[in-house]
Amino acid sequence: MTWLNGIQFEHLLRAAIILVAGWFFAKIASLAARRAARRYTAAQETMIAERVVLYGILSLAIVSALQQVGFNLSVLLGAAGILTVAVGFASQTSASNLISGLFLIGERAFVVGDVIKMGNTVGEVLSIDLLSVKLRTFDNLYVRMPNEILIKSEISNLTRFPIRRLDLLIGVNYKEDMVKVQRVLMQVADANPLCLIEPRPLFIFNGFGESSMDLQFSVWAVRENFLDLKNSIQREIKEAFDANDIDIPYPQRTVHVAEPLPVRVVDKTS
Amino acid sequence: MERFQPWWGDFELAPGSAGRWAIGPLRLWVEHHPREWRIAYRNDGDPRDDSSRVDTGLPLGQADTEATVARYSLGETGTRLTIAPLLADRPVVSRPEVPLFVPPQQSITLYVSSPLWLQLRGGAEAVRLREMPIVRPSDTWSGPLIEEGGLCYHSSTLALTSLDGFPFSPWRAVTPIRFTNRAEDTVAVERLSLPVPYLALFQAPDGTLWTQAVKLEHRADAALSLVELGSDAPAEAGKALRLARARSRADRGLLAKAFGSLFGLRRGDDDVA
Repeated sequence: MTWLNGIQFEHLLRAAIILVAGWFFAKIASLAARRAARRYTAAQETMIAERVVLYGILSLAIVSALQQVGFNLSVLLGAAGILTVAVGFASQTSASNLISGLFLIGERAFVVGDVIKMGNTVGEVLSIDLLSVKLRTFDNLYVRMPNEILIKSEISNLTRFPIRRLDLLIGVNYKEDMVKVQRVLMQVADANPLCLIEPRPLFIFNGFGESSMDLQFSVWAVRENFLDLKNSIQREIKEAFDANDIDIPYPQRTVHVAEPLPVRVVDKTS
Repeated sequence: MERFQPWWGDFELAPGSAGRWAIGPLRLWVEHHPREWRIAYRNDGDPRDDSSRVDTGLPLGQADTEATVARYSLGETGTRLTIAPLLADRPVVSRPEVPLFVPPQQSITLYVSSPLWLQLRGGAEAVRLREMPIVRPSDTWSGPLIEEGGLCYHSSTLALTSLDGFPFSPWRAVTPIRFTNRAEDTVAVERLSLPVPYLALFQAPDGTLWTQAVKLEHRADAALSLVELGSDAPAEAGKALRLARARSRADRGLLAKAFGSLFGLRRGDDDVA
């Protein structure tokens, strides 16, 4: 019953007040930290500053509250030391993700809002956290990528530079005049307002394929117009080829027979 | 005598009536429905078309079926429609078809024209409804591939050195560029990047459109430097009327930087030899 008499109840009340006040103070301080950091740092660094302040103050509040109710913190910390070794072995992956996360943030290979590609996943970066990076793919899926994997893998940042090149691989019939094909392609690129005039479109004759003469036509666009250009220019190339009688051949194979085939004529009347 | 009939200005469109504007390759229809302005346009006409024509007081339902349509609803019932010409919102880059060489100590004036945008404002309070290019120029990139800020429009221009036979157009504005080569070498003008957002637009008495003149110098030790960018119409335009202020304002340093890259210059005349 000593728990219910004067002193102990007062300690409990004090601990509760410290916790609630600490929680409010942590919230306000973290918001202030976010506002201050937003001016000077990128989105993910702002997020980290906010969380460090929030969890730092909260843990101080919890420690003070525990002291108020009579917990001996030196014993608790001693136990925590032994526990750390055990937890350390068990949480190798988390620690690795955590350190990778710090490197990712420091390296700034991408920032929140960039579109990145890793393996077969392409998506917009929603957040870069200490353990993982969250993406939103274009079919609206939420993808969590562990930092450890990101730091080991090749990542393409699709929105880092303001302009992008679209490589079109085109095959034309062997009977076509390549100079005419190049002229028609250049006219299509010049007429499309989304296709940048400079850098100039690139025309490369890649070689003689099995069924067609293979060429590469590379055009540039501002990254926001990349998909629009991809759709419009391919349609316009097809229309221009049709209008100029330039043929995109189907795969075809000519079979030469080494010896004449024995053919027997069957007279149905006999 | 007026060379062009202005397609810009204030027009009265009573509710239930429409107007039609043909400005070069652009066809524009504006209909005034009760509490609604309906704007239809298509700009797939001949880009070499230099005519313009305005018809107002037409009945509704004139717009082409293939035109792009947008509706704007206003709380007020004013009948005034304002159409204003504007210069482009990004620098306009052009490349003379034949390189132009300027020998040392020579001063020349180059006349270049750049395409215009138009802005529609409706009602008594002239509420901004829409802004569109008369012809959408192609995009082009100026500067290194990995940095922001180099997106421009590309426009073909003849960059003539005289106004005799200059192809004036009702939807292009002419900028006189006065250039002096004070260096020891001949320089070649390979590329013109005109920062039109810093220029104002003027209408000459004959209906032609102008921007203020730009005066530049090239010295041996430095790149191109801006000597003067006036605030008035050029002398060639006569007693001109200002139609639009510059879209962007900048201090002297920024202007010098923007106009300092106006010419893509190359020293020497090796190609001529």
